[in-house]
Amino acid sequence: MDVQRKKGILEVCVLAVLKKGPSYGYLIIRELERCVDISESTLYPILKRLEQGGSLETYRMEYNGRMRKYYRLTQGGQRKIDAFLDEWDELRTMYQFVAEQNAREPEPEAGVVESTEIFANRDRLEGEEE
Amino acid sequence: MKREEYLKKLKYELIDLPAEDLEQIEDYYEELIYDGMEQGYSEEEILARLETPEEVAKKIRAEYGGLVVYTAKSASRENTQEYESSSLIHTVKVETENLRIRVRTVEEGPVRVFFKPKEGRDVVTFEEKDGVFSFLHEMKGSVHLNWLNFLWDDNILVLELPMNYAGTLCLRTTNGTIKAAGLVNLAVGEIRSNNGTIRMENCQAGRLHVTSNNARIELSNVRGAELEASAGNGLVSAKECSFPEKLSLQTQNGAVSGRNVISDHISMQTFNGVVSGTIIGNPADYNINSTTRNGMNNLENVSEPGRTKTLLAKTHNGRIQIEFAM
Repeated sequence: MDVQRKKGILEVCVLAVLKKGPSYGYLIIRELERCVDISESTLYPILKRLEQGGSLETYRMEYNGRMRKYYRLTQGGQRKIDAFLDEWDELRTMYQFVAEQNAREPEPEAGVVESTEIFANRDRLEGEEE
Repeated sequence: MKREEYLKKLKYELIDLPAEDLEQIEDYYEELIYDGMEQGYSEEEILARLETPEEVAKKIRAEYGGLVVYTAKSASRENTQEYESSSLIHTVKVETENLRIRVRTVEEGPVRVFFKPKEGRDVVTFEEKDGVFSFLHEMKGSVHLNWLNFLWDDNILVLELPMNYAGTLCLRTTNGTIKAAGLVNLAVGEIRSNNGTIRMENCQAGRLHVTSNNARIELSNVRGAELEASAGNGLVSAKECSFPEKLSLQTQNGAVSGRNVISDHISMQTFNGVVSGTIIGNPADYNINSTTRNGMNNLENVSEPGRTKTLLAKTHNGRIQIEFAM
């Protein structure tokens, strides 16, 4: 898949994970692993980018004697998910179109037939003039 | 390998990132390790499952490109100093005093300046802010200019740009030559030297202004929309250059030459020198305005409303010899 597109989709996947509630790095990766092969180093820049873009926010809460960092979905993030799903409808229609067209049996090459017809026509016309 | 060692290595690999980012990355990995341990894995198991610090650093660095604006950094390397951008740059400004400037391109990478400042002589102000990469160089006090200095390599500054750099490039120097080649995607180029030759080869720029006060300008295979090349005292030459909207070559004392140039609006002017060249195009498309006081002129002046292109050729002392080639 195109790298940029994959990045964009991964971002939405991360946001989707946060839909049911705030989560933290380790758990986000475990959840994402169910749908995509993702490493820790791939997730980090995504989280950072999403935070900078206002799609998620972070906060810290004490857990097991340390302050664990949590990520929470924002309204901006929700809009991003919605936009993705909207876009996807459009893409799906196009995908179906491409798949349908691809499955069709090729027809005889139309252009070639036409041009011989033109020549035949011209010959006929010129013949008539004589 | 233990947790501390892993984190230390990681930090070492990314040491050039701003402290704040480095802290966040360390924090992120530390938490991943703790969380893994709390799931019942041993420290070794977790670390073995993670990518190596080198791999992590490489990926994070690649991902970072263009995301965050960092403050400028510089690093010493052997006997040269390196100034490097770490975010997406849209404007590169390099202004120097008495330095030669060489622009070279790399396939991909940051904007980089290689220059070795001399203690007590060179003052460098380097900043990267909001996509503007600016490198200003001055020489301290009143510098007695020794022309021999120019044989020394430490009077040279090398600017390295990614080949497809698509922003604005402003280069300025006094008493030094400027050479640039291989920039194929510039939006705007502003190149100026007070007393040095400017040479550009195989470049492309939307708008290009080249100015040299007391030395020649040589352009070869340079393309774009608009070109203004102006030298005070020196030859101005453009070879195999195409600037459809405007191509202007100008000097006071020197020849002006355009070999195989393409443009709808051509202006070639000097006071003392020959104006010559070959224009690729149909002469019937051009309104021609040419004058010389002391010399032959092979052009015939024409002004007809139907002609959409213009050619202006002027000199006071010299001949005009301009051909058209279709």
